[in-house]
Amino acid sequence: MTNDQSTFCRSNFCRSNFWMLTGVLTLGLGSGCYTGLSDSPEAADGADAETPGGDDAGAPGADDGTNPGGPGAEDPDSPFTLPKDEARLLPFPVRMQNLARLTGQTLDHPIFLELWDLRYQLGDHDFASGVAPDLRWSAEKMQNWVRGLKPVCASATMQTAFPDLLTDPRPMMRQAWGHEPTDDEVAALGDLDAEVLPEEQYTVTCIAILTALDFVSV
Amino acid sequence: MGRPHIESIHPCRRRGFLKLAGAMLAAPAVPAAVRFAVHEQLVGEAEAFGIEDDQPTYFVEINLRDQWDFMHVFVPPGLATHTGLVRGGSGTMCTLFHDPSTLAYHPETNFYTTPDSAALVPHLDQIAMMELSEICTGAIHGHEAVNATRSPGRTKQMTPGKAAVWENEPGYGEQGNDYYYSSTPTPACLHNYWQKQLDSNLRNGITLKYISRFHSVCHYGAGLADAELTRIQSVDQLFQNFPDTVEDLNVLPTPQEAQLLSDVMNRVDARFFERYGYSQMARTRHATNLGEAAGLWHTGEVKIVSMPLTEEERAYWSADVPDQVGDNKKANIWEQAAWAYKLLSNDVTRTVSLEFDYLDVHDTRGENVMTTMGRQCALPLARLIESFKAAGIWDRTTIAVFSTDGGRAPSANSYGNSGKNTLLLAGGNVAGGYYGDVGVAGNSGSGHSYNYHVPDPVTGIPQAPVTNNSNRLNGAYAWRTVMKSLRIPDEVVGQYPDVADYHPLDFMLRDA
Repeated sequence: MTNDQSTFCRSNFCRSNFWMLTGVLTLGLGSGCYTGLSDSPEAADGADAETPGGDDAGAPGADDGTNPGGPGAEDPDSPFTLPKDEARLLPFPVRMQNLARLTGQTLDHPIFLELWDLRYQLGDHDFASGVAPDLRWSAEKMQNWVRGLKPVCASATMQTAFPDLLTDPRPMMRQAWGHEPTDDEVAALGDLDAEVLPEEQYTVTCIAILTALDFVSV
Repeated sequence: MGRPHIESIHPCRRRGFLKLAGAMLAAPAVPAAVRFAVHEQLVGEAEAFGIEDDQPTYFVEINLRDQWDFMHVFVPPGLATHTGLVRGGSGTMCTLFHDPSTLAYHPETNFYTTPDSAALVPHLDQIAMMELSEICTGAIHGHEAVNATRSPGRTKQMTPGKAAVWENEPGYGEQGNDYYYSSTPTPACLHNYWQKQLDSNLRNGITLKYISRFHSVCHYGAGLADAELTRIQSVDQLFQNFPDTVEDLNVLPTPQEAQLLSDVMNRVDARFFERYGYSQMARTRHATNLGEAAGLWHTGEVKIVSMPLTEEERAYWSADVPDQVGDNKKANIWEQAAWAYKLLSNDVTRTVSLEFDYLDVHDTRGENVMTTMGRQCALPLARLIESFKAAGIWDRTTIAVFSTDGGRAPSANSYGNSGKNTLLLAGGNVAGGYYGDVGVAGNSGSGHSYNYHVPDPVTGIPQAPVTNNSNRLNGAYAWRTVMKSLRIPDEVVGQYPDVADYHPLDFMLRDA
């Protein structure tokens, strides 16, 4: 993939498609995921068998068409809107894929090992172990995201991909965020140069770009 | 009392001296009376009360799901004393499997303990049980993930001032949980918020999401920026969250660098919020999280607590506690209790919520079910109390156990939408006792029909019996009682409209 293509995929158009696809999948898979109510409890009088699992047990079925997306679920005909009260993360695999594109490496490259180790701290899921996606951008996730990014940003791979980061961060910002950075955003990063030790400036600047909501969020 | 001694210290040095004294006196092993006496000597009685209010408190919120029954923990007096009680696991028999002659009565507290709960006997003077709050309303025979005692006023309709309570729970679905809206924060979230107001460097409180099924427990900050708990979904996540080496904690080399990164991210992300039209609430939450992250990127000198349990710890906490009974077992309740104790007694954080279940059982509930539930509740609770006492922080600790998705009527075939909805409260400022009562109304089917004597909210005296779900106490009473036990100021807890007109159940608290 070329840089241009990569930039295109970070664009709002790509994001819109992602969320539209997510919405469609949610509605498609979700309709009918709710099995409905149990029989009246009173009907159980006199039963003679212990019933572990009970009447709300088991995998969700698909028979009544109830929308499991909750009362706030989207009307399929209404325009898609972003949640406005809290910034949410992109799914962990999407963030990783975007990192891989940015560095031009595959996901199994050793620079990503720390992030993989922290994947469940960073919101990834493992349904077999009962771990669901958690896309809150909490302080703990910020802590672990920066911890996982350190080897990525300190790597020769990154420095090869963006050798002029300290003199001009715009190429990385543009490619990572999918839009042209504003002067304010560039100036904010410039503050790091003044107070961070020179040998750490590259890593911290890179971390800042890849911790920005423009990279991790929707 | 004469002039406060602090005035004998030069004004320029008073602030530093009080800060040092505060740090020393906040150490876990300093008894409350000693702490108060020193404060009184230093600053006078009136000021000392204010300083006491600023002392840390520790909270363990235990959420038991699938409609927990506490029959083998504390037997309601009316059932314990009923002659000819038909006991058994089917129909309308009472699910008490211990012969009444084996129950121990404790007149000072009106508790009847069973052999399964004998370990709690030394602590009964600081355990209060009240089982007659309003009944759970989940669509599937009461199952819900909130409970009116945890978030009073929760409803299934989005009305002005109320927001969705489930949005921060990973993998949340409607079945067995339901979608509720509320304006009242849940106890652990509000406690987490308040403790972080007292100490801005405090690590965030956690909830251990270790329910075995697809069920969940909602924790809701009601819009308070830094109230939300960290959701931990696996044991590995817990250990990663609290690593046991200093190197693991300091992501960035200096606090200045950590703060600078936080400041820069704030500036950069401001444009993001602007670009996509997020609300001010989103910006505030994000800024709060970034501020907290700065403290996490460089933690500095910290006390390291090793979360994996040693053999000795495992032996102590696990003895005679039955394993979790469930679909996808994550952690036993004794393990959760042990981890909560480690985190709180070392002041790593001050709020820990446990989530646990006993696989939903219906129609018949046999002896093994009741004994398992009894021991899973009583033994970890007794060890928590014993351990907090030994650590010297019991007077500042509260443990609240909720039957989060409803309790049961005494009959074996009952579901969670009738009979009881339990709060078990333990703590240094709790006045021990079983409040209210459950008894036999008559004979019915294979067993009995039952009645409920709801306690008067002022006196605690059991009122005239009812035989249905009517006349239960509004959940706000229980909620305010927990908040008062946690010493969260009235001006903080009273601001929520669904609790503002209610008072704590002072009969459940000491020095009320």
